[in-house]
Parts: sequence; C-alpha cells; structure tokens
Amino acid sequence: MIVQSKAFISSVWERSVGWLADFSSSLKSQNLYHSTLLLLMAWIGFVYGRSDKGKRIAIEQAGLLQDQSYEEDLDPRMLLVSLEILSKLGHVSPHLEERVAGLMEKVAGLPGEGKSHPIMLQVRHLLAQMELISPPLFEEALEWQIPDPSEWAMNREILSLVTEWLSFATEFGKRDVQECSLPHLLAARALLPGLALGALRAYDLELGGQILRCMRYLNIRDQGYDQGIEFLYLQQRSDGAFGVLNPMVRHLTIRNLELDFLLPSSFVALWTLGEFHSGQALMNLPWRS
Amino acid sequence: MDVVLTQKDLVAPATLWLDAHWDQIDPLRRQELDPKRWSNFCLVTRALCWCPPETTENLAPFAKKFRGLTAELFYNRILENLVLCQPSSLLSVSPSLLFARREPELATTVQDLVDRISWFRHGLRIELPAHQAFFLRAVLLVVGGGEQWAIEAGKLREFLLFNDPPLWHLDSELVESLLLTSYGTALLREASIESDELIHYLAWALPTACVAAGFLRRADWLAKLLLCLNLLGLETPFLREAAGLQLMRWVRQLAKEAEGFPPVIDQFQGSKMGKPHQAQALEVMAFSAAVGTMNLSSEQEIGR
Repeated sequence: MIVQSKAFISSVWERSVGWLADFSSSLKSQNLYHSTLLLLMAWIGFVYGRSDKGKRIAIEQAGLLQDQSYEEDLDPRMLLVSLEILSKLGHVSPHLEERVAGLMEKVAGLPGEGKSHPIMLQVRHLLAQMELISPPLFEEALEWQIPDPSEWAMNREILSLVTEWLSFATEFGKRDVQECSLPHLLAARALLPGLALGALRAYDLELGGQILRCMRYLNIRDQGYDQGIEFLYLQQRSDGAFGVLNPMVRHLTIRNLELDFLLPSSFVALWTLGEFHSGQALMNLPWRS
Repeated sequence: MDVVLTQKDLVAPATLWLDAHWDQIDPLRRQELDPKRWSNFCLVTRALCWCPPETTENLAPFAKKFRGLTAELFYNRILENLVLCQPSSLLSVSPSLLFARREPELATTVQDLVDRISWFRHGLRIELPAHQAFFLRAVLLVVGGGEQWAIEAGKLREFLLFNDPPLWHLDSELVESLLLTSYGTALLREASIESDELIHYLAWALPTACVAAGFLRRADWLAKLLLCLNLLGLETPFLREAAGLQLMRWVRQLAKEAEGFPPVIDQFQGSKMGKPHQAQALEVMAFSAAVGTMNLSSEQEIGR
C-alpha cells in the first residue's frame, strides 16, 4: 500500500494547478474540447485537491464556455460533467444545454443493444444523476456482448470499452461485484494489473489511468495498482504538468506539446490520483450532494 | 468458430523454424568463433536448458543435433571462447554448460570448464551487472556443486530478495532479470532452501509482466515469462488462455514469414527488419519451443 505524506500530496496538487493557471492564461484561443478539459481539470483540482486556485480557473473557464458556441463534437460524458460543473458554479450555457437535449433524444431513440453499449451506459448513468432520465439497470449492461478476455490485450479499443463497461457495471465502485456475479470478474482480476502496467509502460496515460480507476472500482488493490499510482506520480514534471515523453515515440506525432499532450495527460493523471485519494468517482458526481 | 489448440501447436512451428534456421545458428559444426553466431546458439541452448531433462526428447531435431556434437569439439570451442573472452563471452557460454550438464559423456568436460570459469571469474575480478553476475553464480551453483553450494545459495537468495524493481521499468533487461530470478528460485526450491518470499514476489510479478508483454506486443518477452511461470508452476487458467493463445498466434504467424519477423516484435525499434529482429525471432522460437515442450505430455488446452 502506498503511503504518501500529506505535504507531498499537497505539493503535487499545488504544482499541477499552478501549471494549469499559467497555461490557461497563456492560451489565445480554445476549442470546445480544450475548454472542457481545462474546466474539468480545474474542477478536479478544486474538488479533489481542495485548491482555491483550481476553483478560480474553473470559474474563468465556465464563463468562457457560457458565452461561446462551438461546432465540433465532444465526448458526451465530458459534455454532461461540464454542464453539471457550470450549474454548480451558477453558470448557464444555452449552447451546451441544447446539445444535452439532442443527446437525450438520441438516447431515447437507441435500440436495446445500443443502450447497453459501455459509453451509452455511462451517459445514461450521468443523465440519471442529473435527474433527466431513469437510471440504467445492471441487467441492461449484461446485454452487451463482452469480448473474450483473450482479446483484451490485442486491441486498444476493445480494452478501453471493456474497462468502461466494467466501470459502469460496478457503478464506479458503489456496487458490490461479488454479490452481483459480475461476468469475467476473475479474468479482470488476473489481467487488468498487467494491462495497466503495459499501457503505462507504453506511455499511454489515458488508457493506463482508465484501467487503474477501473481496478479501484473492482477493488483490485494489489501491488500492480500501487505501482501504477506511483508511476503516475513520477510522471509529474518540474513545471507541475504530467507526462514525461518517451523520446523514441511520442514527439514524432505531437504538434502542440501543451495542448495535445500535457493537458490531456495531466487531466487523466489528476483524475486518477484524485479518485485514489478521495475514494470518490468523478462519474458519480460527488459534488452534487 | 472456436478452435481447440494444444501445446503441440506451439512446439511444432517453433521447432520446425529452428530446424530450418539451424545452419545460421550452429557455430560448432562450422568451427566458427563468430560472436553473433555463438550468441544465437546460446540463446537456443539457454531456452533448452530450462526444460526438465525428460522433456528434451521432444525437442527434436535440434536437441539431437546438439547431442551429435562431440565432447571434444564442444570443449575446444568453449575453451577458445573462454581464452579470448570478455565477460559477455563468459556469460554467453554459460547456458551451453547448463544444457550440456545433462549429457553424461560431457560430465568431465563440463566440470573442467566450470573450474576454469570459476578461476577466470575470481582471477580477473570481473565486474558484471548484478543480474548477470547472479546468473553466472547460478550456473556455477548448478553445474559445480561442491562445498561452495551453501554459501552461493545463501548469497543468491539475498540477491534475489533485494532485486525487485518496479515493473513499469519493464524492458529487456528486467525480463532477463525475472528470467534469472525464476531460475534461481527454482534452483533454491530444488535444493530445499527456503524460497517462499521469492515465490510470493514472482507469483505476482510474472503474471503481471506476462500480460503487459502481450499488451506491448513483445513476443520474445512473453515467451520467456511464460516459461518462468511454467517452470515454477505459477501459470493460471487465464494466462494459459490469454497469454498462451497470444504467443501461439504469434509463433504461427512468425513461422510463416520467410525471413522470420516483424510487426509483432519491438514496436519501439521501427519496422525495418534488421539483425536485432532476427535475434529476437530466435528467442521467440526457442523459448516458445521450450514452453510447449514443458507441457507437451499433458496436452493441455491453452486456448479456444
């Protein structure tokens, strides 16, 4: 079990929010994805890291999101969580609310198998917490055809979907997986620690963080989980951002280091570390109560 | 449609491939001292040396070819390597000794070589990286025996217990370290020396690294780690299914390649086929053959 001093943890949050403050103030223009990522990361800094500076950045970003409209698509889960944050900060964005209305129409029109897709299950989970629809049932999740465990390591997309599905099936850590006879639980226990390690070793922080969060929901708190968390800590740079580039691979494809790499990496790292320390899942909208 | 595969499916393509490439591997028949060839040869013999003696019968044809070598030739070639040698050469001949110790007609020769290696090691005060030094000690321990046994075994255990780096350092060197740690642990267990702590560590580290190797598409790491799991009896049904099946697919794919190797190996080194890939190909095939051979008698299903 990892034991980090309070001072160390505080300094991790302080430095990362400090980087976020500098970075967000230096940005001249933002698209919807970057705006929501900044908002989410700042909010995570506030909620999990108890950073007032994080709250100030979130308020600034909420103001920007409220006043602008955007053309591009956005992950519906990011959209919903962002809207919830805006509401909490007393902001209203007609543009985003319009999108949510469209999303609800889409969900209502989905056939049975579409509704049990992992991403849609999570979307419905969020909509239900916002008291816009009734919550999806665990039994509905079982309608999704889970890929065989022998396929999990072979394809990143499959692995990502499986972990999203498992995360929903545990209700992000709220549901007792032993009691509900979760399919493939034994396979998940056997494979997820190694898959998290593989993803982190490949500097795929997005996937690595996703698997680590899923492991926490499944209560897989072995040595592999601790090492994964430790790895995330070690990814923090001296300027506070997260993400150490693999010189062999990463920068061959990155155009804008801060926007395309450090911002998403930092978001994922803080999200995962925040859930680790607080025991609260972001997708369970912990700030609602 | 599901297909039932057995360990035989792993052995057949791997051994056929090795047989077809034997001329590129065997340095003894050609009476060469080419270090590259020796290194490849040692890769194969090292993989073989992991198998229990009774299973090596199944490793035809190359095990028979190895046995076909005369003791004199074996002795002379290794001795020449020793005389010329650098620490790395010393290491490269060690696996051959492990394999050769099972051949009764080579017993005297092997003992003589071990004595020479011991002298060489102490006389020149070779500084080797920790896991390599450990490996050399393990070799001496196994083939040498004698009164040094208890002292060496104690040092070995201490070394292994303090040598568990975080797995996110996973790279070829760490896999090698896990391989040697597993081998050392098996030796300790064989000698009834307490090894519970090591087994506990390996029971976590090996499966985790094994799955990670599969994710990272490193067939060479996967083959070695599966062999470790087999050797220590730590494999689980999920690993047998997921990792075993994955390795089998790769071995089959590789066996079909005329040159032997490409996209499955080393995503970080680009796609050009060069010598490193050939060496890795050899590792995959040699270790896969060993993995399959160790379970051949059980005809265990490793996937669907």
